Amino acid sequence: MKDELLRVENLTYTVGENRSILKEVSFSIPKGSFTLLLGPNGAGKSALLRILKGLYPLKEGTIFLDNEDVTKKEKTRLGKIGLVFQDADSQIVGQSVEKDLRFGVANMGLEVGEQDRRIEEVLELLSMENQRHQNPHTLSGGEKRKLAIAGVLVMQPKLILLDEPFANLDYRSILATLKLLLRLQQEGHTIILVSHEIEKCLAHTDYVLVLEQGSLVEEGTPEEVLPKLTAHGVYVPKGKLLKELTWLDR
Amino acid sequence: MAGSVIFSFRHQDRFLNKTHPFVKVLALLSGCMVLLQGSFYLVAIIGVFLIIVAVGQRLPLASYARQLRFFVILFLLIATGEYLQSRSMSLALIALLRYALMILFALLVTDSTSSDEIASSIPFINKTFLASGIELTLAIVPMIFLVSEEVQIAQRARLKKWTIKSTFEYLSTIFELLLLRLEEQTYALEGRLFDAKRRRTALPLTWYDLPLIIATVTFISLRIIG
Repeated sequence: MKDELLRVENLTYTVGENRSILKEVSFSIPKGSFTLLLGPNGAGKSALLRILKGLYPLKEGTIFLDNEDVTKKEKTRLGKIGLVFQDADSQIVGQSVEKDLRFGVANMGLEVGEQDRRIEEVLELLSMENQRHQNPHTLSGGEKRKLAIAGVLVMQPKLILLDEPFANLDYRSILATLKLLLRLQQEGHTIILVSHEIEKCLAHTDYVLVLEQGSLVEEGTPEEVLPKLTAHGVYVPKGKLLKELTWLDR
Repeated sequence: MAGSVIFSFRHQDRFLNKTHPFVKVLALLSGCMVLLQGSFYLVAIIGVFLIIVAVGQRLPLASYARQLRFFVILFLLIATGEYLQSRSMSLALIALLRYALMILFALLVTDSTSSDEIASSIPFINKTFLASGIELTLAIVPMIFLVSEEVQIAQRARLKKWTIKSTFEYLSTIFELLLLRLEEQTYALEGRLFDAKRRRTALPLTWYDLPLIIATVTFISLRIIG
């Protein structure tokens, strides 16, 4: 695969005595791509994202990021891979939007000038300048999700992972989030998105991975994978063409 | 969208927001000492002063009403305890006033100071992991109120009846939910490269601090004079 950003080989993750969460998962992701990670509840999607990010310990398998073996380098992965949690509330730390954005870049040890520059850039990119001083707890669900994405973007990761970014959002917030993700991809970001609602965004994706009971059961382009999804417990709207599987007007 | 969150910072261009966080903390501690043991008149004077500051600061007390209800049990316990001890209704009411004013004072400080500012401003510890401990602890306080409210609303929606057993269930549910939220927040902190020992820039003292420094000295003098 050309310009590969992420390569995962034989990743296995177990908890407790022998409860297998992920079994020998292998795949690779090209730079600048938009990948959809699908699978029923309990398939191991969130665990996979957290392992890639470096939050869960990796026991077996290898991870390459930009051709560098980062399997044992959790700190490198924590810095170079951004993860937007399913529950945006738990990701928010600062007591204002600006303070929350500063939290990550301050921890990176950046100079205050560079911190300010990055914060301004992200606030402008996400049109959040007017909410700069607002308490994050008083934001709406969609705005909190946007802030969680901003908190990741400000750290300029190579790869952005999003765990169910459309969950608990209303129609408008889903559209806004989807538009934002597509804009980020156009700007060169590589995105892996976990969802089980293909009707919202499958048409925009470059690659699809399907997990079932901890195993990678399908992978390929949306055209290749779409006909096989129903067999893996993923809801596929009847009679819709691939290009119609989006909530955005095309 | 949630309303104002109690014990949480609001960015404003007001006097208290411009005051040095450590000066505010010292004023709070010394003020509480006087409120705890001062005479009724002294408590009343400080009370009037705090109410004026709260109005000037536009403290959204009305929108805190729901969250402030958590203090009702505490107030009842304090008033009942004082009444049983002294058999005096007026002393019970004064005790209640003392604690209410302490909470108002704390609300004013937390409303005008973010947890990271407090952590950065405490001398000697602002470059140690203790500063991060203070920052995170203060940041968690609003979460406790939000979680409690969430559980209360969910249980009321399921027609919960308040009994001693259900109160224990309510408390244990809050505790469990808090632990889950804190676990998630720990991952979030790790994901954002949280460094407990990172260097913090100390904030300088300014002329805005003078009134509260005078108030602190006055509170300490009153405490010493008795």
